[in-house]
Amino acid sequence: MINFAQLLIDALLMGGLYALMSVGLSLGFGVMRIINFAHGEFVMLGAYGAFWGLTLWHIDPLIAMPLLIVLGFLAGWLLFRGVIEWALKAPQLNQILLTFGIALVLQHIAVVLWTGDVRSASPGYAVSTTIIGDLFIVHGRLIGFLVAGVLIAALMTWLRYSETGRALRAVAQNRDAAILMGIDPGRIYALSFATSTALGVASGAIVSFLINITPFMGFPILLKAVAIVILGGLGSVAGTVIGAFVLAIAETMVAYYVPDGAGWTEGVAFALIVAILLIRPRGIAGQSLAT
Amino acid sequence: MTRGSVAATCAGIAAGIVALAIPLLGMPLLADIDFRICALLMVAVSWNLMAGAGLVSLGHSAFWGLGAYVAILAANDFAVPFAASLLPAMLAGALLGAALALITGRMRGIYFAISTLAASEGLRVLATMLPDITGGGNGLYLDSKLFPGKTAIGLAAPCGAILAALIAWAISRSRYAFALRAMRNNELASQMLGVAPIRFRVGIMMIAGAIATLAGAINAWHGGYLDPGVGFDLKTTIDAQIAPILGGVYTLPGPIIGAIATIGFEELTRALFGGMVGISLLVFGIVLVVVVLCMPQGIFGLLRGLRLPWRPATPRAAR
Amino acid sequence: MTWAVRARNNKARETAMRSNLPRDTLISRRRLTTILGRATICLAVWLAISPTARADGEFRIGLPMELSGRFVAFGAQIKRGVETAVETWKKVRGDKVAGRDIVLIERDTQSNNTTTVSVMSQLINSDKADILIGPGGSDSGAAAVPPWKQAEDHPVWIVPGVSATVVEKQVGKDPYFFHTFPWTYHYHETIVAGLKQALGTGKKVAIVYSDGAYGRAHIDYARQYLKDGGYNIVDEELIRENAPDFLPSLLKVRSSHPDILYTLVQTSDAVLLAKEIYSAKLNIPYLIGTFQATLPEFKNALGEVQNCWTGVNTYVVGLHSKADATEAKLFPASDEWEAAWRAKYNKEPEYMEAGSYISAMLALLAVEQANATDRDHLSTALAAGVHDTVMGNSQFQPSAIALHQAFGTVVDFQLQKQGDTYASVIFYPPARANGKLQACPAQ
Repeated sequence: MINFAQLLIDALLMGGLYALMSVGLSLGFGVMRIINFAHGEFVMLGAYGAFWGLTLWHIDPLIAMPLLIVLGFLAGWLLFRGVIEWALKAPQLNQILLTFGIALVLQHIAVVLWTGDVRSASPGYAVSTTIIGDLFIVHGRLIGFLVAGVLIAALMTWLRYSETGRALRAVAQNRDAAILMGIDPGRIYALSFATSTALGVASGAIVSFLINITPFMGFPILLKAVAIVILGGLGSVAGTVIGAFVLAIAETMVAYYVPDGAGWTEGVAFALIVAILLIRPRGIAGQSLAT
Repeated sequence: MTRGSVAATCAGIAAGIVALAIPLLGMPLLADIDFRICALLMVAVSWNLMAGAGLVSLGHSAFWGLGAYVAILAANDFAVPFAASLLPAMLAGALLGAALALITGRMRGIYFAISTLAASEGLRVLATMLPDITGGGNGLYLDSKLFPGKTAIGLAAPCGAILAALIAWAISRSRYAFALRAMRNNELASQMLGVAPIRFRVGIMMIAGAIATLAGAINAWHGGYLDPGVGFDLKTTIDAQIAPILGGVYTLPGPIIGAIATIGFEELTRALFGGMVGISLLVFGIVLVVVVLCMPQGIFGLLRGLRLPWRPATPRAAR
Repeated sequence: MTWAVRARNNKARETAMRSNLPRDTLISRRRLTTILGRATICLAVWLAISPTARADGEFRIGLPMELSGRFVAFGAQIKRGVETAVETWKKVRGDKVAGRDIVLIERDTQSNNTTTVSVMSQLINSDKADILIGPGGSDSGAAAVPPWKQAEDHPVWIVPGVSATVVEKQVGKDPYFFHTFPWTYHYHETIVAGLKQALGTGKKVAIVYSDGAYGRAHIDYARQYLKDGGYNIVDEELIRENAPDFLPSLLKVRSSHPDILYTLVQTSDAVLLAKEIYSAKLNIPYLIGTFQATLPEFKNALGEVQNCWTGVNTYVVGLHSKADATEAKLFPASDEWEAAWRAKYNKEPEYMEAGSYISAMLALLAVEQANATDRDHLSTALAAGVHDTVMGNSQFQPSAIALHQAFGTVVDFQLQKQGDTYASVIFYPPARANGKLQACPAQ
């Protein structure tokens, strides 16, 4: 029973992190209808940024995060204006391949610059724990959860109440109508893409002291994010957050209660995708599909 | 027949003859390249067939890996010889294609793509977690007693490639092609015209699936070793897309030209940059990006001097 | 439909498509044809002039390495090791070996099995390498076996990595296969012997293993040696390679209250596992690792967490081994060799760098000894050579299946806090031990 409580805490903390990792992807799809298959690579870049900040200049990842977010935003904006914008009018498969190609390039730039060796950032709070009765809470995870919460709350507030945020939602709902309302879609697209990469980089900074950092860490993260976004409903930030917690809890429970469960946890994400697509394709809170 | 198509047919026949002849010449480097081109060609044709129906597959490695495992397991566990082991592989591929088509039902575009990704990753997890059957992470070696000789395998790949090309040609000449193109452009409208999407979807995915698993099975015999990471490698999926896009997607010669170009380019980057750490795949990625941006109609499209009319698969703003 | 009708329809179709607005193409058709034509010619020329003919006065070392993709870390180590060996040889003996030029043929397997197969075929059949050294990772090594076996005149092959015994079973008693790295059972033989000597038998052991090739290769031998050693296996937990979280499995381990935690995971997973074990305050007295616990990436990442973890290795920095009696310049004392490495590469040498350095050096010495490069003379000379290296004595002896096994002995060591650093204290075998196994302090 104690283990169950521990698992639940563990899963919730993980869920917060998953949410931050996926929210960017969801935003990108909601507004532009493209899935950025290089999203995992931005998480990777954020993780490396935080790692090098800690190792070379002894800057704590949390302190480095605002700078990394700004850099991530700029990088996303430039990437969008420079490369991705051209493919927006092309058929979907070109967009998919384009972002795949960008992912490949980013991975191997990382290999060339930093080699394939595994790294891990270890600020003090990465392993310290607080004990409450028989339960323990890892500080690193708790901090990750709190920061993710703050960022997601900020995002949702911005989307709901600010002018640009509402413009973004307008474009997501109905692009042509938004244009008629005087909103410049190109700028909005760039903004949403840049925001999604900034969020990816932020989650990378957090993840840097929680998991291993390699140039190839992006792809599994992308797969989880895709599963979460489908689960929650493409284009809905709230749905993504819920989906993240659902996935985290499902994975943790399977890992514990199913024999050899830890090996099957990867499959949980995909089983969920298939189940959702069969039962309720729009996901928990998504917009209905156009067929 | 138009002049262009006569030239294309002659080129196709010549290429087929060359592909069959190379393994018999005893030049190992060329034979290896020939093999890889033919294997990639099959997967590219298969992907292109599905794309032609509007079904973008991000999980073609599922078919490849399935074919590889079925072939090796048939050989190891049931002592099935080379040629015979290809048939259960193709059958498995057709079944997987049908299953995917039925499960994804009416889904289009990105949802279908993600389902295929889920299928390939799901199969990989299965292969890893059932070590008693698949050898798990340790992998499987092909029982070397059954090895039919390098020439036999070297000939099988071009035969498979020619078969794939002929199937694609036959489909493009039939009424099937019009139905598929209609489905690609607007499935709803095509349904109103009397095209039953499920039937065509299942059909095309069975055919495409069988071709791709055939490629995987032949490659398994060639390589002799298989593990889940190898069989369901992401690179297979990426190559399956690069080749048709590079060559000219939705066209008949596109995947063929693309397969040759992709392997040629891979060899070039490996020859030029192979000694340096991490560079060869970096260059490959850059080329992919450049091709998608600057040459979306592929090599074949440029050769024809046409820009194929793009129509988005689903109207963007309609919700 | 008849030919005429079909032709008319084709023509109509083509005209219809052409009438759609042809937009400007970025590259004109003519330009593209020229580019493609030139590229094809270049490729054909390259294929033609690719090394196919062997010059007689050459000793060709073929290096199938993972220089990109997931296992790039291994390939880079082999590259450094072999290149340094050749450089050292040239400094000491001159540019040639037995009057032959030394040719290094480096090929990237891209950590991809199909490419590995092509690379091996290319090195054996086209490049006509006299000897192959590499690959480093178990995956690539496993994939490289079939093309080597199928080639009738396959050359001598030295593998400075790859511990999976499936490979040993496949190559069997081939006289041209040389393994300069332990097999999985060597690890467990030594670890369990070390544990028995320090702790006695009857203790409770929990095993954590990864579901990838690493864990699966090790689990059967670990079980076997632990049972034979009189230990009681109370729990076995499977974890997923590269997973972000191992806590559920660790909670199950905690419930079984083991004395010893026996981990069969690769180094990258070990980093995360060690951190989580520390955070969860599992308080297991003995933490046994089979990964490369001396790797700087492990130590730097973990800091205090690394304390009291054990590891095994063929090569550990700071062993203070002596130079070889006969070839002191080629196989210097380990302190000297490590210092030179640090000066050149600005980092500590790693085990696969040491292994490939030694393999390349042994190959060169064998050529010199045999004054020939054909595979029979070469393999005989290799099998006969004995030297003291930084990894120990290089004598080739039969292992369970293979004919030529060197460096099968490993040392058990434990990371113990000494002042500000964590030293690798060897506790087994007794001949090389410089300390004792300690229990982990309670948290």
